[in-house]
Amino acid sequence: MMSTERTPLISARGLTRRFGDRVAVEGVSFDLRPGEVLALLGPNGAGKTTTMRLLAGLIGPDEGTVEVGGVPLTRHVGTALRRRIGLLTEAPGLWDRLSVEANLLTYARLYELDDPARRVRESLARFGLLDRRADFAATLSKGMKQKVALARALLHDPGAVLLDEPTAGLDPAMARSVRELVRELRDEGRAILISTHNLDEAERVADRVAVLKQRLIAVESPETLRRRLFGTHVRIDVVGPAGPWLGTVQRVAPFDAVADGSTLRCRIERSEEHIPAIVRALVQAGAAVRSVVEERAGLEDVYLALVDSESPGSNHGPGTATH
Amino acid sequence: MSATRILALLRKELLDLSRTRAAIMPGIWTLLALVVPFVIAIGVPAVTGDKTVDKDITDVLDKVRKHWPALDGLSNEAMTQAFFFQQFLMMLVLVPVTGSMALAAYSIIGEKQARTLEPLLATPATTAEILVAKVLASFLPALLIEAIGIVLYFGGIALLGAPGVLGALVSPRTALVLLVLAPLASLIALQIVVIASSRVNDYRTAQQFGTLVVLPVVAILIAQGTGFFWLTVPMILAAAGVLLIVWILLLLFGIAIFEREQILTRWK
Repeated sequence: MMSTERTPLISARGLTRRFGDRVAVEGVSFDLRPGEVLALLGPNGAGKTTTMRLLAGLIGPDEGTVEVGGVPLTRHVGTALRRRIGLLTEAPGLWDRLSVEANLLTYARLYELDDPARRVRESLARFGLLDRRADFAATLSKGMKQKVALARALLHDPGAVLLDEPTAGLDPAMARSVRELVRELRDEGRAILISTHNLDEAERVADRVAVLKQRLIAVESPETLRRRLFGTHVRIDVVGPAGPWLGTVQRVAPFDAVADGSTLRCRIERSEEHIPAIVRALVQAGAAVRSVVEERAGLEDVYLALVDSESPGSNHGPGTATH
Repeated sequence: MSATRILALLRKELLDLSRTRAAIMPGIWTLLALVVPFVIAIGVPAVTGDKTVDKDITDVLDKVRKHWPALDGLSNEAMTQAFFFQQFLMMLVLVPVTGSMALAAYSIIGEKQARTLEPLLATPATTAEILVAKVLASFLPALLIEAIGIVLYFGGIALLGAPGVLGALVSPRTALVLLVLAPLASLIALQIVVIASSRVNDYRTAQQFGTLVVLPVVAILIAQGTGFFWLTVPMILAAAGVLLIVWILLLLFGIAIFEREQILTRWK
């Protein structure tokens, strides 16, 4: 089943939060479904952490609602619903003078888990922390602290996991293990919201990306966003100058076709239909086609285009967010 | 309110405290405070050889005797010692509490500064549970130090005091002051400081709020020391009842004004 067909675990509708005169987030709406990773992207101060806090019930919205499993998150039910959410905060937030095990044990007891010691042992084993369990949190590296914080966020087996910049400041190996964990969690059927500045990371793990700049600019899969903003481009290398074959290409794909040296470039709408048609037309016209490459815009280009469209003075209108 | 969650937080606080060097300071201050009355009541007369009683003290003793019949039949030396040991009794309570105020003042601010508060607030723990655990975490060590102090104090009096002094001091009144009134006053002082810790950005400011309670207790001590005022058993029981109600009201007030959002979003 496609993740978009599943019942949302978390539904945000029209979330608006102001701090004094400053609007942190405005009219944010999206769904987070089981077995889905949604990456929350946005520049500094775009409202990512505020959105995370709103979803975790740490702060309330001025307008809008959050539903967890169909139940509106309010002050009265917040305590019970927090059991269904695991939050990794921006800072690991471990108690420095407590051991790794004591940190986790305290949280296991706060969640009133059955046999907290066993749950902590299992968690330590899962995260490869058994040999560090007696170490004080203060003595851990940033990566290890993040690992313990992740273990803490998942200790109570939450259905929804909110990860605020989980790989920030981690070395590549540690960041990779975090990404692998995120995939594991998705495969276990959890709904995951991951806030990140790392577009490569978002591309690798997210099923959909949400671009936020106070307002939600877009919520779609990276591929859909690419198509919507840039379309698909194809590059054809021929033997000899490409200029004589430009007209041939334009007859099949009239959008943005250019010839440069021995290379032809054009934008196409449906690659499975247009690429064979272009190649066929070129070969019939006598061109010696050397290679055909479908070029995809990077997520970075997509992101920058979207964020730029929301900047003051931009000529572009904001993208349409679909949920 | 969940006892499991309060205990979880309390265990964490006490474990954390046990690894803090500053945690031993209330104990050290209490030990030093314990020595003072022995120096004044026993040490100085022994060194100087002067066992005459100052006229000011005899005047106060004359006023106090009608409330304190156990003094009858004691020698002048024993009466003077009993008077001093009685006056310093409250030090056993005040000193540990004053030390614990630093812990209470740091309780919420410290979590915020260490950035440990946000994950804690994301758990099912309620504000009431967090506040109760925080105040107990600073109150219980103070109580433990007070208990040890009492044992040492009365043990020292039994060993070093003049005959009859210990008997004059051990009474239902003393027991009520030490075991009921003083702990309740401590609880209130620490509760006020914990509330302040959740409202201000600086632990020193929070600590100063505790003096709001300590100062009236000191005033009562001075009043007793001058014979101007004497706490009787019914007065102590009535005061204890009032203090208990005040503590519950303070706890409810603290819960009402604990602004999770403000703490998370405004404090730097």
